[in-house]
Amino acid sequence: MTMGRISETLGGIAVVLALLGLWSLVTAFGLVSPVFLPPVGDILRALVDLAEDGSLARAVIGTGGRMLLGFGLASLVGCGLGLLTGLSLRARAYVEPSLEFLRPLPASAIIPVAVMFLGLTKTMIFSVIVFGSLWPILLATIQGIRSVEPRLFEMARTMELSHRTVIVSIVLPGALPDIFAGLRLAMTVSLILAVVTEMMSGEPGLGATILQAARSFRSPELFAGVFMLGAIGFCTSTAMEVAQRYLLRWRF
Amino acid sequence: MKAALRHDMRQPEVAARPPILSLDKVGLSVPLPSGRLDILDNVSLDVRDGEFLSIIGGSGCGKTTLLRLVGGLSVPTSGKITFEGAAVDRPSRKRAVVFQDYTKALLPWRTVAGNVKLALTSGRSPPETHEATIERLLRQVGLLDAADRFPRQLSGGMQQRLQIARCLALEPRMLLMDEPFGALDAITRQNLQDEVSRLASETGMTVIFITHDIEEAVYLGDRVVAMEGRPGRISAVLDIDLPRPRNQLTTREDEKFLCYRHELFKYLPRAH
Amino acid sequence: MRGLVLPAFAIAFWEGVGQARLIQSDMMSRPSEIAWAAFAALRDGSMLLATGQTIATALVGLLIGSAIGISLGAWFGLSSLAGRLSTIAVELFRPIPSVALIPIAMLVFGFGFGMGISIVAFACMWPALIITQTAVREVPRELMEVARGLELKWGSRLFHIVLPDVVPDLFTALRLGAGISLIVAVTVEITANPLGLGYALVVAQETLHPATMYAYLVWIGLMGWVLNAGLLQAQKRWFGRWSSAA
Repeated sequence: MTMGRISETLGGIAVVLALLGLWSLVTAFGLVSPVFLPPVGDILRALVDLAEDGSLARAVIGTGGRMLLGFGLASLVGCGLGLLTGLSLRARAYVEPSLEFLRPLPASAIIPVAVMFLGLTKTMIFSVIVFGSLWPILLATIQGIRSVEPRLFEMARTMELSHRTVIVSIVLPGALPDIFAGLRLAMTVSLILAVVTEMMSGEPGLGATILQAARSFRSPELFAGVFMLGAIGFCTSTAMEVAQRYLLRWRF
Repeated sequence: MKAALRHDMRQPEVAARPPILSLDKVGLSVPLPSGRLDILDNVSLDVRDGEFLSIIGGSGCGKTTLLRLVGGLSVPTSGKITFEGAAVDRPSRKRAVVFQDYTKALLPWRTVAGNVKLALTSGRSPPETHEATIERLLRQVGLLDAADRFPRQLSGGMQQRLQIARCLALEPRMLLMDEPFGALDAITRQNLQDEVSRLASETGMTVIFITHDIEEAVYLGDRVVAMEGRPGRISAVLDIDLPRPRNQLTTREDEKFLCYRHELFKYLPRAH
Repeated sequence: MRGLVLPAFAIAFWEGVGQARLIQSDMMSRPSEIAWAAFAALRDGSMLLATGQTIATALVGLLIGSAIGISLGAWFGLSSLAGRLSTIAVELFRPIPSVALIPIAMLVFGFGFGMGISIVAFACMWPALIITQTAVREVPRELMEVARGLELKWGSRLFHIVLPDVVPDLFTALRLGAGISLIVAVTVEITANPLGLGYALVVAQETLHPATMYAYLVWIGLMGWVLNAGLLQAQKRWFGRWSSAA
């Protein structure tokens, strides 16, 4: 790390601290009701309290766990289906227009339907997360396969490569950039759906926690929960970023 | 005479052997809304084993199409193509193709060594020998130092050499090269010309080399085929009687070289 | 045309199965029932009212969020110092899922348009910020050199050089934001806010009117698709020749 980068990072941190300082000033002078904007100190204390009695861990594991499991399953199904569809020109012709229509549909709109069929249960939550995260991955996989350089397929023919080799060595790596974009989108969708379904069903998790806190006007706890959700979002997207930079290092 | 002048391992009787590749009245036409378009018409040609055959012609004369037919990437609508006695109807490792757009024909996500390895994994050589083979081939084309680099980090000339190395890994009987040096600068082109020439004589491979550059065609070839016209036809076949190994300086000044060049000039389309 | 085969077949199959009473379920509805429910909702104005509410929420939120995002993005793009210093702060706030702010919005605004608009604004702000920042930062050097050579003042430089180069990307930001605004507005309505299409969807489900629920589902999907397609067309028409920002 160069001096420039270090001072840049320190400067960035300083900006964040300054914003927190501004926040503290505002709350100290009572410019905003503490219900809307609790002091930073209270939030930290609430965070510690929740951590101590284990409810924070439970909530994080609940939300995070559901999100990751749902995302994981959606990735497998989405990639798999995407591969099957994407490799067949005929399948694509029939399926792609319908998929394009489904693309702008809010994943959350499926929730009431799921509630109707499955009630306000854990199964409903999991199904919604999987179903909602599946589409971006499916679409991205198909798009990725479509974007593979056609010349490579000719090259594969002249080298008499087996179907398996073509899929593993050419199609998948070639589609990976697009697939990754889909995975990152699906990750955010899965977090959103996890939170929303928790809020609607009351199943233990950060979503339910913050809604409860709001209803009881316990703002520090509310903000602490929101902070944790931001942390989950941050960690998962950073992890994806790191993975992407490694897997797609050949692009740079 | 020709055979005795060649500094390679082949026997003088090579001219008497049956041709390794035979095109018999080959034609290709494609359907259009307005009828059919003839791309190739009545092309007949015999290619001898171990021969370096250059094909020249202006753009649109069908020489790339011809190469693709020989490579098995397309199928002729009339006539027959025979390779080693069998009909050509699909691509084969024995007829390796070096594509013109080398960047698109290389796997960007594999290293130089990885790209060569791809050609080996679908072959019949045992996996233990792969690493040694890759090293040998990379050394042969001068890319050993770049083994761990990605294609994106290579120059155009290096990428083309990588493609050639990969094709050699297939242990082909014939190398089909489609204007391989067209996009490279003059110096790199000359170096690669000599390298390909050397590789061909070392391995005894048959090479079909497409170019629009008369001098390159004469410099490299044992024979030059000139194509012209829409639809594409062979307009001339010239035997090149120049000493091997060829030399960028002396060969190009050779009187015979200039004669061939002069002769072939007639068959290239005029600029209007 | 082959693309229509699958949906046409699915609808026909679904209708047939329902008509033949092969599947008896009070949770499934036949396409004909769905169409009828949609018609009824349109006729009594409830669907149009809900649509209006959602669109209003989405639009106002989009405008506010984009305005903030574009302003900040322009600032961070023009001043590389501001851009570099703000990176950490942006990366910390951006991953907060907009839905997580629902309880906060609920406290501050109560139920109603305020809740929806504020959350939509938060969600739309980030893509606008990032796209604008990148677009402004990547205004070709040569253009900026020209501006300096002509000794244009800041405002003039901004208006005549930076702006035209950046406008297609701004439109992309708006297009993406429009899609997001709709999705977020509906999501907030489904979760907590008792107005708009999302709420109508939930009410239909809770009052056991599956046909109406499906009708709203299809309607929402249709709206999203029309919006996206419309904006893409507009972009192509207005900016197609301009640049390839798509």
